Amino acid sequence: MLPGHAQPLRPSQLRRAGDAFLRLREVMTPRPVTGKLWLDLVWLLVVGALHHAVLPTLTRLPPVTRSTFLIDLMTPWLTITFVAAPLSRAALFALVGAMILETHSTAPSGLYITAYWVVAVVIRLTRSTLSWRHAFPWLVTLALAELWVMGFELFVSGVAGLSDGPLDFTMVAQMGLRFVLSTGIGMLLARRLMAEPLTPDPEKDAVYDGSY
Amino acid sequence: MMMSRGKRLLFTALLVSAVLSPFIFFSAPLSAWKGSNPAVMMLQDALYPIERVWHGVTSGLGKVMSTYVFVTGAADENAKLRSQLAGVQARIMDYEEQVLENERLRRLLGFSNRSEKKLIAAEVIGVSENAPFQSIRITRGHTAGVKPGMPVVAADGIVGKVIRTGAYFSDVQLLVDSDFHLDVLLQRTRVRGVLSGADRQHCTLSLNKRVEIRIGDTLITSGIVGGFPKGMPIGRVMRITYESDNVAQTITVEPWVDYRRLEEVMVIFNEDQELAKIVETAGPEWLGRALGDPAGG
Repeated sequence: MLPGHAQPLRPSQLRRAGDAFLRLREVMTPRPVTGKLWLDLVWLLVVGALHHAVLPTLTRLPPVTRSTFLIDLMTPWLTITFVAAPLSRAALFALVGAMILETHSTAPSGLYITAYWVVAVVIRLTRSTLSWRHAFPWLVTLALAELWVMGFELFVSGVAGLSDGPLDFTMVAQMGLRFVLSTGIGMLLARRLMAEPLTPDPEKDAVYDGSY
Repeated sequence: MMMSRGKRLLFTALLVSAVLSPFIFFSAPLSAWKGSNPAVMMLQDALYPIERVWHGVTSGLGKVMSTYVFVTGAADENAKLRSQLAGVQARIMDYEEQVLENERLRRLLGFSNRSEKKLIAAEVIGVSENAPFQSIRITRGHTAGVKPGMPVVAADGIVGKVIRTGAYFSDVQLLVDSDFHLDVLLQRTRVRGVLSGADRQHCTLSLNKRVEIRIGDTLITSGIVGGFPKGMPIGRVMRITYESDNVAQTITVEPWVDYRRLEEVMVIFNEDQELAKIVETAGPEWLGRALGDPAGG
């Protein structure tokens, strides 16, 4: 074969290229639990960036300059992690996720760490009694987690005396929308986990081992 | 199904930790992460490039849209602005005259000249929308010399103060943040008070009922604590509520600065004089501890 002449791809090479593409697609598909710690951390950072930088600009479209609604990506993402990952990993992600939120706003230090730790523990203690193959346990878990985080935020700001402002209609509407959207996003993210025949094994720490 | 002893212990430990964690949280001071500790800011330093690139892309697109697409009414606006400019130019001439006169009078009375403050401009690249914890992110960090506690202002008035600094960015706690407090003066009556952030758009000021105040009165900085120069505009009185105790009145203040429309701000390199004296006496480690930075930075 003369140099410079392209050799036609053989079927085995095509298969290898196809496999590589599939592997890349698998890595690039956003999901809370991939089975690889580094990839999960990268995705968590991406969620943090989306939560703080991308979504606020999308929900504040010109010429409407005031924010119209908030989307909480972090809570559904972490809730799914708490269900599917082992406790040590769930604790690490709760800490990282909470730090991403706390060091970007003026929320009191520890607010999200506390809120997410409570969610992680409650999920950990109850998850073996639920069947994660069905949508209903996911829906209830995601909805309750979001409600708890919003309620804790409100409690800290209101009852603890950080805010004098009344709960006006805009704020209530914003919270309602945030609840619905975040639960919906959570259900979308959990869809792949629901499709898998995951039978929780109480003797096993992780419900999900990372292989879809 | 029986649980093993180890599992039971873990179960109990987790339950206890979940029950106790809110109590531990509330027993600590409810203040935001402050200072410039690299360990705390590590995650934000990692996220900043994404935030910066996204801001660049969206602001670029926004400029293109406003320059080439949304041009309806530009001629009308142009004419209106020209007429406003003529008025402002006339006022500037009068203002310059007054500045010179003021300087002459101050010299005559033996007042020291106001020192020129070093300012640094920064772009706003992010907003934390989570009410009531209000902050913005600006494009200057400790590499540009920005330190926690420095005042941040815009053309219309006070914006807030720097609470955290990363290498290339800083987080600014807004005036309307529920944990923000500032010593202020009522411009007309010269009455002093402490202004606090109330909700996402307003601040409140509690004063004695006997203090005379009117809707529309302007508030300015007192320059006493906080590092803000004296006389900077803050906002106007929009509501007065008399408390049931018959002693106090609560004044709701609307800031001049619209935080949702902020694009550029100025950081004032003005060390808080009071704070500087305390640091001189107690040492720099004290400041680090007070800001919740164990490294003392």
